[in-house]
Amino acid sequence: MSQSPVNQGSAQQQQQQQRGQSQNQNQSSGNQNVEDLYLESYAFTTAAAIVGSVDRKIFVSLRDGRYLYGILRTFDQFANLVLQDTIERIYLKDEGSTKKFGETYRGVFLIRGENVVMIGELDIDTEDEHLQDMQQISFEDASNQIQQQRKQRIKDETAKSKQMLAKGLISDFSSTDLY
Amino acid sequence: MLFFSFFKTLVDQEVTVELKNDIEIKGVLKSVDQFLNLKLDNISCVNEDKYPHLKSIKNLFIRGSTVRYVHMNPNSVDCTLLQDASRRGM
Repeated sequence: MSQSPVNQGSAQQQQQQQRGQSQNQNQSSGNQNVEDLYLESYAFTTAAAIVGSVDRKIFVSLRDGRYLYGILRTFDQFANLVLQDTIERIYLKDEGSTKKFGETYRGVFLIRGENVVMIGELDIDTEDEHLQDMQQISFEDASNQIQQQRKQRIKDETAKSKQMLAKGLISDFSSTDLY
Repeated sequence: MLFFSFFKTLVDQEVTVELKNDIEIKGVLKSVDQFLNLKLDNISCVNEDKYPHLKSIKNLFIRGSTVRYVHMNPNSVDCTLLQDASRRGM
């Protein structure tokens, strides 16, 4: 007698599991599924939006203007991230007709969420396409050039802020926001 | 919470997000959270030649604090409902 309720219980559980499985199958592909389930249960959190990119190659843009490319290993609700096999890449704009870039291997990165501007999942088939019509230069050169550009920009923007302030306007530029 | 609810009604619609660094990204809004972080699918950059590195990116998570504007189709906004909700202090 005492066994029957237990059996019923497990039978119900099995049924529920089966129902769950068939619901999953009704939805689209495998990974999309996981993401949808998370989105439903964690609609309030940042976590739901990033969970689908775990163990994939992603691109991260940081507040200081850096671009990082790496494999997302883990994250939390603040968008703190851990990246593996990270590459930092610098794109140089307004440098004549051919654009230039430089890149270097950085390894493991732990990024504090407040410094993240955006996170994008890369299409690994086309990720290098845009680099083909660019010229690769050494990371040191690219780094020096971008530093100069940033210094110039900080100078320009602070001068602009002063002028605006004199006219009673507030500029939202901050030297920590160089993205 | 009003704007969180408002953005939730825009899910699965196409929006254009303008960031504080002047990048404009068009995409289908997939999710939004309480910080108004946005997740966009099928993104395309409006001024793409300036930001070529965004070409190979399928979906994008944007931190709410870096957003300047979100442009949307006016037909998807129910102004009277929004006004009522703001008066109720939701």
